[in-house]
Amino acid sequence: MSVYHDEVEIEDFEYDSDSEIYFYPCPCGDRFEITKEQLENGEEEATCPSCSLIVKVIYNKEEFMQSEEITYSSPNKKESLTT
Amino acid sequence: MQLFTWGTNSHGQLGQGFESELLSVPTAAHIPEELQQSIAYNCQIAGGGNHSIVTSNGRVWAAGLDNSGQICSTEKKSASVFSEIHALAGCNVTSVACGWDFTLFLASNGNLYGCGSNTFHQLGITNKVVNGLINLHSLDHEPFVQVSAGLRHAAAVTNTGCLQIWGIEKYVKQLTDVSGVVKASCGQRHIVALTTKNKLLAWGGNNHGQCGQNSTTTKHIKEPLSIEWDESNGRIENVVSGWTHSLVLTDRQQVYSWGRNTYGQLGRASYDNSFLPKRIPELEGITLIAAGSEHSMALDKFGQLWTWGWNEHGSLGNGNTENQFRPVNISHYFPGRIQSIGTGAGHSFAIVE
Repeated sequence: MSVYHDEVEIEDFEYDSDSEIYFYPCPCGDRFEITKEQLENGEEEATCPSCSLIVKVIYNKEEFMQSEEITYSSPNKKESLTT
Repeated sequence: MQLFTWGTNSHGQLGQGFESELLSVPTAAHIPEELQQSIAYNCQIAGGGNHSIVTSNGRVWAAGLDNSGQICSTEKKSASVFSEIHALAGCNVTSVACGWDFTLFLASNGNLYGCGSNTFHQLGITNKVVNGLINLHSLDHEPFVQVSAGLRHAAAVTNTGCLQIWGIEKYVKQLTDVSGVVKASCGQRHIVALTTKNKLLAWGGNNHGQCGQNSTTTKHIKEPLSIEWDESNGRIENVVSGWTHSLVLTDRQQVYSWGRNTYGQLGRASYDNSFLPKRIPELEGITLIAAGSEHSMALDKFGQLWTWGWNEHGSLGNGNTENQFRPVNISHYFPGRIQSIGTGAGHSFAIVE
């Protein structure tokens, strides 16, 4: 049995552009979250701040690396370790 | 009558007057005097991700998170005590269904009202932002008789047996060739429909076997498929769905379950998943069933309340946070006979004499 509660496609997450965090509902009532930066770093685990469940995020890593380059023009953007 | 609540309480959805991580023991909620007086046999209670809605004698009270307007408060203000939704005054609401962050209200005349999030068009309109109550319509403009809400979709049955579906189309689309529906039940990404011929149909997400097809090979079932049902089990009276499991109640007052069982939500002898309906042997004389996101409840004719499944937030109300794969009797926590039950995602309700 997988340790993940579920696998969720990135397009099913809701994106908050202010905090740059992707959210998906957790069965406990809170939300699984993963930051844009984590995705750009190739991470795939979205965690819930209120419970032990973890979902695996299904996404195209290369696409996220590219999207980072596009948004890189923002002067406030933190540099990620993998670039 | 009293309202007992337990489970997740991070946004005050238990109506206890405070927010907390959880309550693992059923606790009497503080309900307004007029609700206490009117709370009666025709009362129904349901919950969403972080909100709770009670309807009694046609009126509606709500508690919990209101960030999307799901409890229809005047200023989208969350509440840890139940207060009346005045916008529904005079609508004579007979039943309610809660999605993750939206709510649907069915009135006695067959009108259907909704409030809360419409991000996935689950309230049936194109505007993403909804203020207050809106009216939902069926394609054939017939009155609605039953309603159910899932995570990001909802379904309602009209008095002609048509099924109307709203919300996220990626998993469950509106279908035109389904008829003779008497009841629909929405999960996280799937729908189960019961027809007049005692047939169960399911479609949508099937990655955990929630469509009852004895296999998870097809992760997404696009067209309704029949769920194998042995007629000798009796007639199906009700169907309810958690996120990825479903329960049916038969006229023999027995309960069958299928789908995901990772947290024991099927109430079987083990944590093994099971993709076909199988009876929960302990449960006899059952009159009501309910399913939270990953937990389940059943009430029997003696007023005994049984709970099982995921319990990390005390949703089972048995005083601890250990998952239970077999039904646990929690009746000793209540001072009187239980009349009705309900569930939110991670929270639970009982109406007690």
